[in-house]
Amino acid sequence: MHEPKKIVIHDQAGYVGMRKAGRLAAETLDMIAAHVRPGVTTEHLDRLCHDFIVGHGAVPAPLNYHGFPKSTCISVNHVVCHGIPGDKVLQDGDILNIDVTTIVDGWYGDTSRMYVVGEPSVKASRLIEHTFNAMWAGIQVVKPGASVGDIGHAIETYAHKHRLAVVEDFCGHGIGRVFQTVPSIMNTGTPGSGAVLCEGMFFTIEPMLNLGRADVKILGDGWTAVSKDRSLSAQFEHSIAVTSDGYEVFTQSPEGLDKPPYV
Amino acid sequence: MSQSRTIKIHGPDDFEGMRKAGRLAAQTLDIVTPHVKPGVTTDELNTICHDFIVAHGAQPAPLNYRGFPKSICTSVNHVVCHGIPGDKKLHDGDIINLDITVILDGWYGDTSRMFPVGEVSVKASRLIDITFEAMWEGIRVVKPGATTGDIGHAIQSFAERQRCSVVRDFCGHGLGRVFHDAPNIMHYGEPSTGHRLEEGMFFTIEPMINLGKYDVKILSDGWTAVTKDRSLSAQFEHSIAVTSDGYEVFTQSPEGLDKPPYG
Repeated sequence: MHEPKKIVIHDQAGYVGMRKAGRLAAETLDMIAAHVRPGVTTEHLDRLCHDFIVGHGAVPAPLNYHGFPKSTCISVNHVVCHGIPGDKVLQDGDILNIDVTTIVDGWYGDTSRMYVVGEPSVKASRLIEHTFNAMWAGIQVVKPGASVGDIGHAIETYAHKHRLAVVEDFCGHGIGRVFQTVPSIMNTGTPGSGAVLCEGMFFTIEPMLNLGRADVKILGDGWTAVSKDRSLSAQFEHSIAVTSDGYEVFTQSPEGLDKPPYV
Repeated sequence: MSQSRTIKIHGPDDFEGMRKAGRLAAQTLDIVTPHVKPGVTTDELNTICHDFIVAHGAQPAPLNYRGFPKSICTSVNHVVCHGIPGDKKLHDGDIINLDITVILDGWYGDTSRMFPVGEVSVKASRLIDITFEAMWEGIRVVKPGATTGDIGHAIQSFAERQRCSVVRDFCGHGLGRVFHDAPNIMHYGEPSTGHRLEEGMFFTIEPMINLGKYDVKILSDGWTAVTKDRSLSAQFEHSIAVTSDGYEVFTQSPEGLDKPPYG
């Protein structure tokens, strides 16, 4: 048996479902912003997110997903993605990505942002700024008739212009009533290649950019992905839809906390 | 949360888990073999397989997978794959693929074979033989250092030499403790392209070969894939591992019922 390869085209009810799920995921990231500071553990942040999501009648999708043990992914410094919350204490100068996926009425809202602990270095701030811009470079090409390759090409072109490396071992994915489905949204690519976008497709755009090289390795826990050269890594993520004339972002911050600084 | 494009490398305990799951899936095909005859319904075959799997302490993976309503896939004549068992009666001359995936102690064993019903046409027998050989052409190139493109190329060049076509819309997949994972195993391709194989990778090889053109459409049930030109289609599937010097097949028939005629 195979995974179905046909990309689901969603109707209005799908947009309504995704707006609710996406908004709760974004609200979770808004809520957590004030708690990211030196001395807290990543497990503490995970618990706050978990309680907030469950308190709103939703389910955190990562928990038990393919055996993932926590409700969020928290990826600090050279961790590229899928960091497991634990007793790691955040220190002044750390940067971290918090990745939240909520299930609301069966719909999945998936988003992540970077956070800074105290004062980050100039290099770290620059990486965060460019990763945010790279995500938006990808989002802005989305419209009916564009291709998946156009998105990857826009992200890659922006990143390389700023001498940053694009991680190729992970990608965005179709989303909706399932967590991860077709199409895969690569963060690199050739214009005009890959699936052609149509109104009603839902997917994530979530580039991971490294200050050093793109190579990644997975730690012994089977999840944590780190840059092989231990260089800093950053990621932003939105869940979006293709609309009749462009795109709709389901996971915009209601509080306007789009990127650091959040104060 | 990002979709992983990294390929899991499994250790000796994992091979043991897959041997058990693969053997049970193959045994299921062995025990259902005498029941495939004119007059039986595909739902009856589903029930026989379901009961056997459950009685052996395992679960049928397709049941409720992304909403699939039955425990096995039954694909008759021009159905390429993902046929849903129902009250369709088998007739003399039909050819049918039964596709089984069991979950045993958390491991997924996935295999399928073709079954002729009564006496089948020369064309149908030839298609079944070609498809079986095409699968083995793909399996035999598997060893560390070969690529996924080598597998696809071996299958495609064999099938097209016999003037058959290779379905493009579905592919083999990584598996293990999950049903579907990286890498995708295309059944067509260019030598030396794609992912490089390493010892400890687990995946399926499951070419779908048509007598006519390779184009496929999905029926309105959202699952059943048929050839657009309604030509006959056949498929065989094994779950395999890359070993230090080649491959190991997890889903060999314990009774030697590798391909028709079965007795």
